[in-house]
Amino acid sequence: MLLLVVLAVLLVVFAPWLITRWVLIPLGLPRFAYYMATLADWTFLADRRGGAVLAGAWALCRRPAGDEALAGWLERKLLGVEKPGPEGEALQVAWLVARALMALRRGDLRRLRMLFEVQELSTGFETLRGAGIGAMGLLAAYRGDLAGARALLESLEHVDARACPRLAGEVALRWLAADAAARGAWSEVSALCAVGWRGGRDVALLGAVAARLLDAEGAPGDVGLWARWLLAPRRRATLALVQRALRPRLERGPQVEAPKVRGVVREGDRWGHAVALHAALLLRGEGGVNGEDLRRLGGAWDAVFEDEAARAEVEERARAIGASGAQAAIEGLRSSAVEDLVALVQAARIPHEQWDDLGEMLRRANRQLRSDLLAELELTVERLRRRVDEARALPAIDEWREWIALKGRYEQAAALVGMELRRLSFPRMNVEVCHLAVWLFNVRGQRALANAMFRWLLAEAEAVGDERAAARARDNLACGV
Amino acid sequence: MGRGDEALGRIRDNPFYVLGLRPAATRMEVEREGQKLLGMLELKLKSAGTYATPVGPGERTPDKVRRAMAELRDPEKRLGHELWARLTPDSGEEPERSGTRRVTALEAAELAEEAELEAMAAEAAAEARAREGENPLAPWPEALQALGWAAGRSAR
Repeated sequence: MLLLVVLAVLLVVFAPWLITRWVLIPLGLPRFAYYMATLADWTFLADRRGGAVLAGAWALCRRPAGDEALAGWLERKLLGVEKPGPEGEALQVAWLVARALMALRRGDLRRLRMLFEVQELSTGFETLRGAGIGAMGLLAAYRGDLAGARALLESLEHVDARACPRLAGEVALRWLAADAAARGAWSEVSALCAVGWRGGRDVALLGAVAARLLDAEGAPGDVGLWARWLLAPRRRATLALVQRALRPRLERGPQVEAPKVRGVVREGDRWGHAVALHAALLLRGEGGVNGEDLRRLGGAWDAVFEDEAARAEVEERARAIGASGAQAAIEGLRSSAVEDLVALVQAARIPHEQWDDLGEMLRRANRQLRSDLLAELELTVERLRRRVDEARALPAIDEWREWIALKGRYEQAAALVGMELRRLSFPRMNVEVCHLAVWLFNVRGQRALANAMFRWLLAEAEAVGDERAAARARDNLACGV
Repeated sequence: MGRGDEALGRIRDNPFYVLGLRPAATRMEVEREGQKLLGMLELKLKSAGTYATPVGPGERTPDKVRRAMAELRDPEKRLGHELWARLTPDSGEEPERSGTRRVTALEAAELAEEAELEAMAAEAAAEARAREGENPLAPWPEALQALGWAAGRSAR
């Protein structure tokens, strides 16, 4: 008996993560998992508090949904919004005084003022790092906010390895792979699971299944797939999926066809032909349109607008019904068609290189899309600038969410419009994001978040060839994490 | 409503389709057809409740009919609608309405062929839908639960 007690104590002292991972998390015991993981210094060296909350959140995911009290408790543990005890308060005051003295010594009155302004709102005393972001992602998933969880967990790839325990990355990878499978995004699963066995046995299985479903090169054979299934956990739950992947290609069912245009076009009617093509793409919607479709549609419209006979036909109709002329109607139709093209590109997220063309309609669509996206980005960074200038601090996780939303918007816009948009909007992005990151680093103590922003700025500066911005980002990165 | 729906709405709610007319219809025919449809809608006749368009059937309401008549009274607006109504809806429900262009024998054959093809396509789509569960690239909705990321949902 004594031996057992000694063994248990030794396990707790020397292998707290083993107990957390293989006992407390599977049993769905978030509080125990949290406290036990706080002892796992070695596992979560880069982010101990975040790591403990990550363990708690992981355990929480094993429990039935709806326990908001536990989710809230874990969130408070991470963000430190619980009222600190007398010791915590004293420490907080000491921290503030120390920062203030440093600012005074440098004669930096602006920073001094900002320190006291953000003091009330700031949760900066509790810095956020990689595991903490992962924990918030799992908590979002537990609360049913899958898109929010996806965004947070995907963002971990931007956090420096010194601020993000390896385990947090693995947990994120496993959740993201499962989520992609749930959405049927098998290409995404395949890309995520390219890490093979390093991501875990379930990731290896999902990767193999995705490769088989997509008929990818290097997909495992039947034996390889069965072997992965045997080694993976939860075999009963994954059996049907493996059987699906093993089904021969010929037996696979057809895709559901998109609705078709139910209309007849007269031979040689160019207006009708373009309208029919236009309607067909609108009916297909965001899932079924590609760059080639857009080129074809743009070409059809160009053919109509450049055709004198087609224009003369409209002019004749204008005279027949007593309209002042054909120009207004044709221009109205052209601008509606351009708007639709822009909407299709945005909804289907068709990369610029797939539909880049010299045709007039596509050129117009590109111009409008670029102008819309630039205006939207400008507005977003303007709001960000104002908030930072006014030192309106958000909780660290919300600062991070705002940043990943801005980055996502910029990257999506860049994919849709291409390098031209990046060159046009990066200078402003660089100034405002750098302003935010410097504030987070110097005043809020959120070094890991700021570091991730500097890293992104450096990569983007190099991509657009902005040497000055790249040099500044390098200097900022050298400040550490 | 998304921009895609809005764009489809431009075709689906085109005044010519709402009134079941072709762009060549005269002003008189527009008025006559509109009044006839308003009367039918008031009597709640089922046949007047929907209309065919190239992007699928639309729901006809008295308000839509009145708006369509108003739009077609303005020659500038009418010209724009004429351009968007170039496609003849192929439901074959109302092909011989007064004012519409007479369908030639060749067009009638084309319409019949189209209808046959449509029926075949619909049948294939229905079959595909039935087999969707077998589609290997279909989502695996239970993935998060099966891989231990979400326990079975419980009452809150």
